[in-house]
Amino acid sequence: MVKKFVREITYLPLILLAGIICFPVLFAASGVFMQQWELERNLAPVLAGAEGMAGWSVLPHAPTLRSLVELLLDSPQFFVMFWNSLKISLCILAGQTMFGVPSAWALARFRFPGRKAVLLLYIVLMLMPFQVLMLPQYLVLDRFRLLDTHAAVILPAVFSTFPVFIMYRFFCGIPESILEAARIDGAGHLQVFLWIGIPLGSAGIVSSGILGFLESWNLIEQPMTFLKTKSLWPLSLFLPEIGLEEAGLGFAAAFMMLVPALLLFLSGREYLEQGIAAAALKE
Amino acid sequence: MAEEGTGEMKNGKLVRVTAMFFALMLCFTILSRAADQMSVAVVQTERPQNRMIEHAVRTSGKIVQNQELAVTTLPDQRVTAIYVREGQRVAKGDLLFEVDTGLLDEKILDQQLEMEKQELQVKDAKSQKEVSAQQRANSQAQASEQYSLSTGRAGVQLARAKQQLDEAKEKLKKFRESVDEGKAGLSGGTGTADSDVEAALLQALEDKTNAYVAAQGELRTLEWEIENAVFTAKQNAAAGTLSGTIAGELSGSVSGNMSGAASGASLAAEDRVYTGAADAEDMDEVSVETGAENEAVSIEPLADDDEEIVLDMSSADAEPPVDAESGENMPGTDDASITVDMEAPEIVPDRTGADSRALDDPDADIGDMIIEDGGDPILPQPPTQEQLSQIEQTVRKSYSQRLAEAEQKVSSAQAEKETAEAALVQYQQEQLAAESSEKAASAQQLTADVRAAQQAYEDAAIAVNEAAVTSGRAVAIANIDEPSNSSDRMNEITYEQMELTLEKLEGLKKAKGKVCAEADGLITKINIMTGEKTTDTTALLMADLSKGYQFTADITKDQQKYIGTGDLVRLTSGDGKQKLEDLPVESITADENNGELYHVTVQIPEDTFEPGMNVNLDFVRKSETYPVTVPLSALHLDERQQPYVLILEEYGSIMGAEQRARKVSVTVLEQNESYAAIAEGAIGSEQELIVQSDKAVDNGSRVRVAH
Amino acid sequence: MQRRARKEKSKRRRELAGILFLLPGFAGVVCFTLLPFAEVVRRSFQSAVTAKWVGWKNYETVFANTAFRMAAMNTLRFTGVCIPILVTLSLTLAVVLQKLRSGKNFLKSVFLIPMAVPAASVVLVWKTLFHSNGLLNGLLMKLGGEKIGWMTSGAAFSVLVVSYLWKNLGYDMILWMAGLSGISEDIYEAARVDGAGEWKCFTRITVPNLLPSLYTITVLSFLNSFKVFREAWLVAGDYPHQSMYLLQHLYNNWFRDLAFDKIAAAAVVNALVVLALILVLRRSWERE
Repeated sequence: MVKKFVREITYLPLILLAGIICFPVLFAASGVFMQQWELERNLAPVLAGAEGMAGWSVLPHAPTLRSLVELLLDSPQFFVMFWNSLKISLCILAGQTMFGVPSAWALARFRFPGRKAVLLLYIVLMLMPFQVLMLPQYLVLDRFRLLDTHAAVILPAVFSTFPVFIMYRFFCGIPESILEAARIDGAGHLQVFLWIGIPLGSAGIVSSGILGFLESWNLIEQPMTFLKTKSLWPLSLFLPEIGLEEAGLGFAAAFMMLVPALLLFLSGREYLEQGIAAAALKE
Repeated sequence: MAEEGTGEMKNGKLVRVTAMFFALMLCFTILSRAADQMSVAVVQTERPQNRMIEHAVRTSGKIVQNQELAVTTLPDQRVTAIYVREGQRVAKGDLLFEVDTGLLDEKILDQQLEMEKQELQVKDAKSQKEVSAQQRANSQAQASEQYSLSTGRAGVQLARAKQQLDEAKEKLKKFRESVDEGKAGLSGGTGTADSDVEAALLQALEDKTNAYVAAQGELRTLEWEIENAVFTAKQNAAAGTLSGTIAGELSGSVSGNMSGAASGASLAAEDRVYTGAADAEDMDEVSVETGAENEAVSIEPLADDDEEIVLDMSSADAEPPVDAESGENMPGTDDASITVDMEAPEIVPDRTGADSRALDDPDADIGDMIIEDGGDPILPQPPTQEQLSQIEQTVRKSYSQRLAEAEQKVSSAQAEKETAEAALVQYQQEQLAAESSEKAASAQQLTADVRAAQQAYEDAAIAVNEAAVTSGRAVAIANIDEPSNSSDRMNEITYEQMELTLEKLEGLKKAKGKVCAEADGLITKINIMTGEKTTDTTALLMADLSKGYQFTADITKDQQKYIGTGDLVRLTSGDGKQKLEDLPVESITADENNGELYHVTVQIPEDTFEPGMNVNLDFVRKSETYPVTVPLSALHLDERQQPYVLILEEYGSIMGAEQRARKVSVTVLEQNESYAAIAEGAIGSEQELIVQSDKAVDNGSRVRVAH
Repeated sequence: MQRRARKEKSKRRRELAGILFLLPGFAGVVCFTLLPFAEVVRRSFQSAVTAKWVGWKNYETVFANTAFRMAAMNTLRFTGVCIPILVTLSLTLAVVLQKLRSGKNFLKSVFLIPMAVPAASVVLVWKTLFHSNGLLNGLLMKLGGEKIGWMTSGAAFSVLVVSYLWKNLGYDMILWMAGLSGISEDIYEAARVDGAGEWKCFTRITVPNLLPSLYTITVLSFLNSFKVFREAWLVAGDYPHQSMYLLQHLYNNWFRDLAFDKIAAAAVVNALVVLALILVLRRSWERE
């Protein structure tokens, strides 16, 4: 009985922790349904330098969809950025799949000279903070005259090595015997890759896709560095610019940005977990 | 396995939700863009242009004649028929109206009778005049006779006194000589010296005496002169108007003869002379016509100044000193001065002459003169007593220095003479004291005789002076012309006028009472009515077509800024059928009553527009070429009444390159009803200006350009 | 012999195929990362404006730069503090969660959510929380505490740590759980039969078996530690309190100032440090 109770009581701190972790999300979500006056009353001490302390209630006093309606119907600029973000993210995903999957397959399934070095290189590059690669990328984008275009954000991200690393782990997990059987059946390298590698490694591809999407949906430094034209900006650059007078709009926009990420996260949670877990698997 | 299945199902649902989410976002994107486009103002733009600003002046007015003719007829005629109506065109010689000839005959008869009466009056006046002329000639002769008589008598007395004086001197001389001869032995030579000394003293005494007499004469002359001047001044004051004329003529023609002082005075008076002369001219005409209808003419305040000029003149002219021996000169000079004064219209000498009796007495009462003048119709407003005495004082004052000088001279001459006398007496007494008592007694007797004779001579000399002055004055006064009695002339004038009226009546009768047009014209007004009598006002008014027409119209003050005299305008008749180009504006004048209105006139060539037509005037004033002009629709005024334009500005927004309005304050140099010229610098020629918008546009408003 | 030759031939063909598979992606990597990086290495020896060869001068400048030293120290301190905390915390959470019978999936999802939340979405939340008039100070004052300048004092560093933990806890937890699931239940059963307690089981069985995962988890945590810059930058801007002034801030500011020579030298140094770190970690892991 005591053991059971101990087991039950462990839930409490877990739920508390879960609450703390979820708080910012709930906070942002409740802001969407507040009216402007309530937001101003709550946030004025923080954003406008007013006296007193900021307050917050997770449940709005006078819930309204006004901010959301205003955002969705009266703010075409929001949609410009929303689609910019989506365009960048999807392009990056497509590019990563196109170039990353074969690379990962090659690294996982073939033995050739320099493979280990390439792997190490990929891991090192994967761990490089963006700021280290910012200058080289800037130089090459400048050379190709790609600065201030979406391609400037998309192309370097397409050749990011992190997805390769994730998918490599998945492809490593495919039993060699299946591939051997296929080869004996007379399948070429390409057929083996297309008909066996991709279907069996699809979980890895999806999970790396989800991770990639979350990452690219959240890009800030790259567009900030490479994009000057405001109309090319993704949503992530627009949100920090919102002040108190548009707080309602800001919360709504933040919420709308959160929604696709959460939807994708929820629908691909299992793949995501697999993808994450794959990284932890022993080589 | 089952768990995996539900997971798959759940995932499938979530994927669908995700897809729906993006679809929804797409819908909202389209919706919000549509809503946004609806809120954006659609504008039309134009670029600033290089152009002139034209100001159109448009007004409508009427054609009027340049000159109107008045048709008059004699008063008190009955109009029997009028053959024209207002607005009718008539040719020269056309019959205008007719008057009753019967009534006309009656009038002629009346007029003739009146004239006869007048003729008789004229005759009476003429005979009267002849009589007075005779009288005057007599008194003139008498005066000159008197003059020669009294001066002659005084001359005889003077000569006699002189003789006695000389005799007494001779006796004394002889006695002295005898004494000297006796003395010569005793004192040796001193005798001649003694008699020489005495002779010198005597001679000195004689000289001094003569000087004294001369001074006395001068003083007397001056006194008379003053009286004369005072009289003239009063006379002129009484007829102040005339003195203006005199002064004018004097300063004009006589200035050459004048001394410096006089010319200076005349210069000072010159500006007044114009008005004076002008008025005098007027008066001449009037007096000729009406004889008596003279207005007092407001020169009165000027009278004083004019007096001074006249007085200066006379003083300048009367300068020559009068000698005791040459007393005859004096009246002559005075005459000259008077004639200079009276060189004006006849009336002036007449009036002075009329007062000849008063002049007998130098201090003639001014009141008398005024009473006499009062009868004269020429002086309806006589100067008051006060004014006259004031004038007299002024005149006397101006002479006072000279008078004082003359008196001084006399008294000093007398003093000198007395000193000389005393010296002589003293000398003689000294002589006597040195001589024997009996001789002394006889010498004293002789000396006393000489002195008495001397005294007598002096008196006689002074008497001669006085006689010359007094009788000379009488002669002068007698010589002054008698007035050519104006009533006589007036009667004649009246007669002449009657004659003229008669002539006119007869002329009308000859025309059988018909009055015709004297020139081509248009009847504009008829003042007479059939059956009514005519008055002395104008019977008909007609436009003289031969003198051309003009266009007149009113323009506003704003329009007036853009049109000026000499500008070439276009005139169009009201119905638009007739058009005249490039006619110069003759005049633009402000309306006397309404400061906002101006009258503009344009001369019209012959045979174009008819008088009375409504005509439109068009004129376009073109400004200089401005580099930056904008349509007026692009110009706005802000809350401080500052003009501004909205220019199109591209800016990079989240939505891509967008356009918005930007406010730019400008300075308007000139504007008309469609364009405004703007000072350079505020906007460039490449800038697009918003000239039209379907919604209100402010600074920063997002706009879209319509194509 | 013939078979061997055939085998050789097929082996070479396989090598070629592998290289062909790798090539497109690798070409991109070379093109967009390696070659430019080589260019950066070259530039790190040149002056920024005149491109003159200056030798090690840029490196000397960078190392002499106090801002660089401070930022490098902050970054090292941050990784040195955060990664151990995160690793132990997430391991504990993973072990606890592993033991749960129900709600495991739900809690896993909840803990993972922060990873999905875009940084930009919660900027307002962070600002509201950590402002000196913010919610956290409000709570502190209600409990009778003093106001803390979260963003304006040394506490800024702890804010950085908290946001990092918040974001990566779930991610690392999943990683640990994957490692835990790799340990066969039979071993635990055998240990329990031998009379080992829970703690003994953990130290003797779980920890040794998880050591291989530790390498990966540490590397990934290290990778993610760079991403905390986003939150820091969004909340505190280009020049935050110096306790949270990271190398990324410095690079960003140098980049904006076009100090390409310094940024190049620093990037090379940074890359070398990362490389060294990975090699060390790898070696220590391989030795195990």
